[in-house]
Amino acid sequence: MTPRIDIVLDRPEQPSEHQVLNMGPSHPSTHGVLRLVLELDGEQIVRCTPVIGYLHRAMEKLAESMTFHQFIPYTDRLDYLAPLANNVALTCAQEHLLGIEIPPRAQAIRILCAELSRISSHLLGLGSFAMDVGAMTVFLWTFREREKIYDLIEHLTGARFTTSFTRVGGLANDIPNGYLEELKEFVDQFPPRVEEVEGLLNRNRIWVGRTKDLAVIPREQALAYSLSGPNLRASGVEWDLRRSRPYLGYENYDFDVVLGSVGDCYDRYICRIEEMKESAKILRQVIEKMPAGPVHAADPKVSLPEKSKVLQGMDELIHQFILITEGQEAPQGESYFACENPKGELGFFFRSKGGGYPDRMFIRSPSFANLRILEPILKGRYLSDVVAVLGSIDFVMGECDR
Amino acid sequence: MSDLAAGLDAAVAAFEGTVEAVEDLRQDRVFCSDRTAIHDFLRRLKEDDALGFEVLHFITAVDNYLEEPRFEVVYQLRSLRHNADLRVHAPVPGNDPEIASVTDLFPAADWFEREVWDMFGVRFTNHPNLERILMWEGFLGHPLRKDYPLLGNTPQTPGFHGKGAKP
Repeated sequence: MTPRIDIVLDRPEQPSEHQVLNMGPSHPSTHGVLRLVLELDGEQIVRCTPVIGYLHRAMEKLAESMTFHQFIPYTDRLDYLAPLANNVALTCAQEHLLGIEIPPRAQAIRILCAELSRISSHLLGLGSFAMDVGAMTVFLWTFREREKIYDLIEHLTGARFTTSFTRVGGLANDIPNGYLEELKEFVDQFPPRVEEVEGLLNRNRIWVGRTKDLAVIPREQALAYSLSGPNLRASGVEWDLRRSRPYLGYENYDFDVVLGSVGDCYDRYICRIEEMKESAKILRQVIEKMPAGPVHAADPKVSLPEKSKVLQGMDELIHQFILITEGQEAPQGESYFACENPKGELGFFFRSKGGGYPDRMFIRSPSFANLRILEPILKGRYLSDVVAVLGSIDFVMGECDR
Repeated sequence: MSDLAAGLDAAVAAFEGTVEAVEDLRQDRVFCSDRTAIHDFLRRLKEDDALGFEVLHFITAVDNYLEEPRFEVVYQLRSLRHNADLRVHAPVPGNDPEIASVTDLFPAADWFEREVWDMFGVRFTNHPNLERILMWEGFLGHPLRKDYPLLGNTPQTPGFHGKGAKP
């Protein structure tokens, strides 16, 4: 079925009382540029055809003519609600291809980055979900918390959104002085703030009425459509890369994998709420256990030298020059590595022919896979349910269209 | 893990001549399958009780420009039971880029196959709706092919090439 409206209208077998409604690409509840072509029988949806690609920027093509470092800023624009987590996922995948390990302190700081972004992304997801369903206060309250996270991110990376904080083999910088105290202050006050949001929603009659038993995704369907992240776990599938295949030393942290039971919109909401609390728990452990040491792998063929040494030492100057102009020498072959990002599994598939540029890079984005399920779960629902379902799936078009 | 390895060996043996295991850089499980066998092989991986690769994680393609077979379609599958991933490569020749669709086995394949068609021009037979997904209808060419120009000034705006233009 082609998504063009004129073709939808032309279909001869379609009874004339079916109405075609175009939603998006700039509808407030599509959070970006998703377009849905809805075929309606009264208020009931007979068919929903998602149309994507409005934010396609050919990132995979661009990556083919870039060194590994040069692509890092592009990941800020993938899931632009959690840029730090994308930075972490990309560099982890690159390090997997290059076959290098990073020091413990860099790992801990990367976990800090990933969990901060998870909280920030879930806060926005919940806030806009609730606002689309009519609960304005939740949006304002979650954005107040996000603002604090952005301040923390700004202090850490120097930028609020376009962070580009990681480097192959480590990080751009170590954490600033006194940063952990600042973070601790945030983590301490955060759980009560989440409970405030829960107090507004958990037993709110309108909220429950609009999300409970809506768009139920059974376990088998969730797996068949390759969902990931909170959407998959809300359907009761115990799958979290941080637990199933620990990377960055996640095995050393104590946290729970939150599961839903039914797989409806309400479960997806609860999963996100609980995941934020778990992330705060991980952050607290990161603060306690933060190891000392360097934040760069020791291999000078891979990680950039310290800037102060570049201006004084011959070796460092040469390494810096080679790494910037030619990039890291990757082995021939391919690799795939995925990280558990806020929206789901963000994976990078590399095919390398050697040299500093990937021959092919594929971005397995969670939103792309998650959005495919809209068509089956919206069928037979009512028009007013669309915004609630979209909010509960929590997608980002920057990542979906790449 | 050993019954997984045994099950995989049995599956590969059942497809002798069309499927073989491949050495991989990072020790992932990688198989190379003839394109005629891909549908049956993926069905075996999914439905074999000893394997249970029920999740299709992604499909993508690689363009080995100036080499034959030119394209490789890459399938990444996952078995939750074994906590294991595997990858299947299916080489596809450049003069006849066509391979069987697996949408009937894995609903998730739908959009991934459309993306491969859109970006590489590999056709999937028996796909229910093989339309462009990221580029617009009427767009000329397949951008991720290596011979697609990186620079140029052809304004490929909707309607520019006329309706229904096919490369």
